[in-house]
Amino acid sequence: MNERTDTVVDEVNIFALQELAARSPDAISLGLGDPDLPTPAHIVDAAIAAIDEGRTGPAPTRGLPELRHALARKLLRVNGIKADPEREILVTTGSQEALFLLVQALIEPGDEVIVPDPRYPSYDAAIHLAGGRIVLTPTDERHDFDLDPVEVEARITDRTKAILLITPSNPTAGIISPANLQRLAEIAIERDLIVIADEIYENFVYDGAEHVSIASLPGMRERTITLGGLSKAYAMTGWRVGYITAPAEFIHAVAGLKALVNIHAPTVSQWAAVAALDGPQECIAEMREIYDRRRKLVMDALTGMGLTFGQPKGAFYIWANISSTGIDATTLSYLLLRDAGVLVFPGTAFGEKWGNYMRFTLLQPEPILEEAMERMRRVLRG
Amino acid sequence: MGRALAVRVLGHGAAIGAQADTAELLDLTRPEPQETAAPIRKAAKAALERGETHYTARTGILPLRQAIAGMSTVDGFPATAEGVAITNGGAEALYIALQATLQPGDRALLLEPVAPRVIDVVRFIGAQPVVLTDIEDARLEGGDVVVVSAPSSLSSVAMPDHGLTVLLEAARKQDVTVIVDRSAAPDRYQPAPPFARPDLAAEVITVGSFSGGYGLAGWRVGYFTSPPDGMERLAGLKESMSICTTTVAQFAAQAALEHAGELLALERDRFTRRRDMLIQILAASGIPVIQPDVYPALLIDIRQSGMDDHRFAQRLASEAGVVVEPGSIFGESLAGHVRINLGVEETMLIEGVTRLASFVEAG
Ligand SMILES: Cc1ncc(COP(=O)(O)O)c(C=O)c1O
Repeated sequence: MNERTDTVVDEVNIFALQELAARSPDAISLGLGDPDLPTPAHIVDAAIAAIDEGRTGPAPTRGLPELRHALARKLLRVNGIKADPEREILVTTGSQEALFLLVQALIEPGDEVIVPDPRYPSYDAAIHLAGGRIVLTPTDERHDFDLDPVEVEARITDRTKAILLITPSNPTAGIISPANLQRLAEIAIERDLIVIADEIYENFVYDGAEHVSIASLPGMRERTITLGGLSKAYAMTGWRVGYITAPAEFIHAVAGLKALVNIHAPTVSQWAAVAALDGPQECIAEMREIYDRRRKLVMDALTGMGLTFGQPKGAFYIWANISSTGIDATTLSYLLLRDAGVLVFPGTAFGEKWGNYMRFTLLQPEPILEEAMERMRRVLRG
Repeated sequence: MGRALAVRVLGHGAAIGAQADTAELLDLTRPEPQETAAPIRKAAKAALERGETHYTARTGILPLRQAIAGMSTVDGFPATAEGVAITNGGAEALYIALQATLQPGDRALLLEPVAPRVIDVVRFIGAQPVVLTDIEDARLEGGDVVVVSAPSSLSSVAMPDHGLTVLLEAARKQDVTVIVDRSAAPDRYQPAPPFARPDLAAEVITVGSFSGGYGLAGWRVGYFTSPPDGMERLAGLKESMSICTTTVAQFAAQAALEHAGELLALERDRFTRRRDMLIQILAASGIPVIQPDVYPALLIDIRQSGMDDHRFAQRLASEAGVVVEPGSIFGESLAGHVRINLGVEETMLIEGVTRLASFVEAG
């Protein structure tokens, strides 16, 4: 067996926790990053129309031309990125696959990738499989988990191949401030590094913050691989549609790998994605408002329980410091599941040093979130 | 940027980009897209209307895993629902199986005929592909993993139980991991008897697909099965590659299995008729074939033309406007043959094969 398929962030098995939760019928999940909201009706209708009209057959490896063109329009409109739909966009089976493919394509054994900590554990899995080394850059509560360019620069060596940026962040809900992003771009240019930008949460920023795509900054397009997807933006996790935009030669090569790995993204989902990108965009603002209200609810409740956190400026998570409970995160996860019927992932699922943190998702209706908070309060008091 | 990648896969990428413009030619290598059958469409739409739009468990929905485990067990490859994972197509399943079992530098024994893409995957992983020409060559010398396609979509004939048994016994003795690629199943002419040694088959990783037999290629759904001890590793890799398989596609596949009897009966009628008709056209010109008994493709023996299969395919395209695959792409055992796909639209198939026959006769 290939040892590199093991992830390092594996002290706590979140799959075991989820299975445990699935066995207790009244457990409330604040675990997985899967929106509770339905995929908007006009998108589902477009998929049904594709099925009715027989548009279900194989698609090109790079994705349906209609989808690549819709993505090009979206990248220009939302991200300020000019991408040629014929040569600079690859449709993937979720952004998870985008991440997997681009890392396998880019990273040689021994290459170093600078990754902010805590982090989405699939980064570890993908980078280790390629034989690369993760170099962690800490982020902290005091700075709302913004990424400090000085800390990044201090970690660059002659083996550094790329800097991975995620804004807004899973799990911290922090965003990289425009000033820091600008400085990170300068560093990438000065040190001739590639930037991998995971922008899957780009639609969800709060408190007047603005999402900036690093590829739109001067001089960055040619050295940035941007990945994104429809899972979070349109509540489309089960459809498996993501994308990569990057310079043509890189896309060309990743497409070669994509052809080996799974040929093309599912056709019906691609038609749904066209409808999502070209259709009315109000659904995104509506979801953002819903998440924002929930965010305030959970922030207030957690504060009331004595937990602290950096200002969650994006995504749909709260990354809360649980030191005041005196219980480590893994123990607290099992305790909350057993005694409160609430599933929350421990911080150690996102990095070995994060035993004092837990990630709460905002992906339940407000009354259920209130119920979850009430149950937690009782357990922590008792 | 992309230097590493360029070195590792550009050859393949270029091949994709360089696919010939075959609009003017009769291309007998690519099946026409199949319509998704009505009961599958209905089930898929119902799933969407119920709001089945979320991630599923990384290994997939339970009813589909149960159905696959049942089918695999009936076929002589015992599996439990816990040992099944749904994947985004058979290709993803095979990639996961290879990536999880091969270390860089390992030797992967690939029983020929073997698709070039499988060799590409092994190389990409950093392992060494070694083509195995005789399934009963039980030495498995220095092999770490053996990959067998049974049945083979390339030769289009079933794998004899005896050969597979010898191979699996040798692998058991030498502690070599076996991957049986079953993505060309189910048999498209006659239902095949189950593999006779389920005790040996229970130890292998199998890979399957819903693309061919159930006409779901565009939906991207396949699966792998694994003995219990390998499952966590494989499922973990699946999760880090694509989280889970497209939810609506899983419900489509579930419907396909529920309606397998009627869907496969239609397929079997269609392909048996086509196969026999084409063999007749060729026989009238004295051209032999390898009689397919599982997969809807036909290997036509063109040795009497005096040309090797590559040269034959080239000249057939330029002089008769017909595109076929030279058999030797897939290994020495198919040299002297050209391969056509019986899923090609029927009038085109008849016209193409008729032209091929005249081309051989004209010498
Ligand atoms: C940071 C990050 N990147 C990528 C993904 C993958 O999402 P998907 O494959 O559904 O697009 C996720 C999902 O949780 C994520 O949190």
